Amino acid sequence: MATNVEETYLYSSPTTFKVSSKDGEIFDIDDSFINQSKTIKNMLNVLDIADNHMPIPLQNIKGTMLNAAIVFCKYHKNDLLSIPDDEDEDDFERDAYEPRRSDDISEWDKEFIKQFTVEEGTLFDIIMAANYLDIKALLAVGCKTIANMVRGKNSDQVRQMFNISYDPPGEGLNTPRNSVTSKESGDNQLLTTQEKESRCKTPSPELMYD
Amino acid sequence: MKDTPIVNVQEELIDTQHCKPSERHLTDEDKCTMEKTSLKLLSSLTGVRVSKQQIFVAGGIQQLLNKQSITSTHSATTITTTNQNPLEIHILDLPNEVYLHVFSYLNPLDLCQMSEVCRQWYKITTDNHLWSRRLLRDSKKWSSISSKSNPLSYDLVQSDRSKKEIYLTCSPDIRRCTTQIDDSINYFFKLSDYVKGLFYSKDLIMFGPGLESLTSPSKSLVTKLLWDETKTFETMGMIPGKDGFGSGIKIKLRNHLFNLITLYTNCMKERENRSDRFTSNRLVQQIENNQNNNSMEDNSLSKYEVNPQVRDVCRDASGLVYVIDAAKENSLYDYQTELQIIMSEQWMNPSLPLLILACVKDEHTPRSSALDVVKDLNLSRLANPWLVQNCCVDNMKGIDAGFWWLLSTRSLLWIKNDN
Repeated sequence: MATNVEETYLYSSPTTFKVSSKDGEIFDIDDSFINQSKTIKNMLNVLDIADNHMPIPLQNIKGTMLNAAIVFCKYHKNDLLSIPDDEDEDDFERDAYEPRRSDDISEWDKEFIKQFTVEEGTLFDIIMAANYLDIKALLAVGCKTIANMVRGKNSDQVRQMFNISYDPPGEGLNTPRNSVTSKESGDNQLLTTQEKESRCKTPSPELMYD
Repeated sequence: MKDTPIVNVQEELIDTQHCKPSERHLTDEDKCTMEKTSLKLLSSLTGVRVSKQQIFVAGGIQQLLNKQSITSTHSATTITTTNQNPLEIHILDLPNEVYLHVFSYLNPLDLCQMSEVCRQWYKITTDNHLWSRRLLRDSKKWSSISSKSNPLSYDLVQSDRSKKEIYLTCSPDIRRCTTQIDDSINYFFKLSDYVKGLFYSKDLIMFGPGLESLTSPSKSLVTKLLWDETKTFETMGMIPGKDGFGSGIKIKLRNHLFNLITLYTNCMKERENRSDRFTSNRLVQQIENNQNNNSMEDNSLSKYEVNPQVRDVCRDASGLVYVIDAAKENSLYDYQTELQIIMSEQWMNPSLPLLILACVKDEHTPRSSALDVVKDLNLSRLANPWLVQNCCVDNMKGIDAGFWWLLSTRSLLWIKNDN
């Protein structure tokens, strides 16, 4: 049965389906969205949806975010090919020569992501939506934006930026200065655990980077 | 309504905050009221199903009590914003896989900063898998690895150090960021080093297959050193050798005078037509007992020893330089034997620093990484302090850094540690 659905979905183009958001809004989605959202694609393959007019419930996503994701996918429908395949976790060779960049967000994407802010939490909303729908390109844009925001900032600035309350990890932070001092004192790998613990005492964060 | 008491306490708290003039530090009296309210709050929390936002509020108060420096207005707004919009997603609500995605764009130093932000971020950013991937990926790109920053040695002794610790100890980028601290500590040593450098020159012995395979008459490493266009190395004179051994150049590098003695395995003509490095090699000779076997193919260590004349030259040396051609097409294993013969000698001072210059002709030549050199030359097993330095003969890049390591107090300090 499932294969039948897949075939109909593959061959009847342009296909439109309806999805409903958490707050009950109903949207039409077309190929551009289905092809980029792996979650929807899998859902359509697995679910037996004979009737196109029944909206697929997406309980995790707000209407505004769903709308934005659809707009994003419409714009990006043609650059499907340029998106790299699944991250191959074990492919070290490929990784070695392609360090991950975050300064390559296109102008359109930059403008697009500007409507979502940290203050209102919408930036995290859209990332969550992209993560849930498994839209690689959108998730990458969101994550890159956050990475660019925190890069070069110290922990105080980051806490302030995202309104995070401070709870010290306490287990001993392996900050560079900490490990460098232990390196400089000429120790080798054969430290006793006790020595190690005393060396890894958490320094107060204020002292670490000023 | 289970939630009502909490909301009340929060409002009460905000009220007390708003009575006080803003932008000033908490007084003892404030702290008392805060403590009371927070106790109330915490007691009301027990037995009630706790949501994430409530924990966040409680954490906020704790922080307020611990760190009095935070102004009262700031925390008050923190609480009101979380109250106003209960449906709003906070950054801490993001799932771990999204965090890993975000952090994959950050460099190690940024990751360290992020680990100090809060407990959750600390856990994600100190993940062993994340760092072992980084280590595997980045260590291939490191341009210099020393005996003290050799990531492979940790595997060798099955160290229980986390991958993060190993990364931070070994990465040259991190080391470079923290050199200023070392310099201030070593200021005295640097000064005395400078004075010593004026009067006393060190003998450095340079040998290895790279000296010869890279020798096209105009572009050898030695000629480059002799007529250095970048003026980093100043040639001060020549040193005549004895019986064809021990000739070299007197060179000045940043006020350090040193004698660079080059040991070629053969003279130029022999070099051009021979198949095996060990036939007619002047550096090493076969041990006489074994000569009966006379199998030239087997270059096992026990069969060769260092030529006595070479031994004499090396006796007074204060550093060794082993030059190899690290172009990708060369098999680094071939270079291992010669180095092992020299380094395994009984007379060898185990604290003599060894510099390995992994040379390529120019920047475009594909090269083996410094990590491969460490692996293939089996340097992890060497007792001497060593440094593998990637360098390029064409533009002399990296060569001065390597020699500087040999000359500076740092390598001397390391020797002291080893003894």
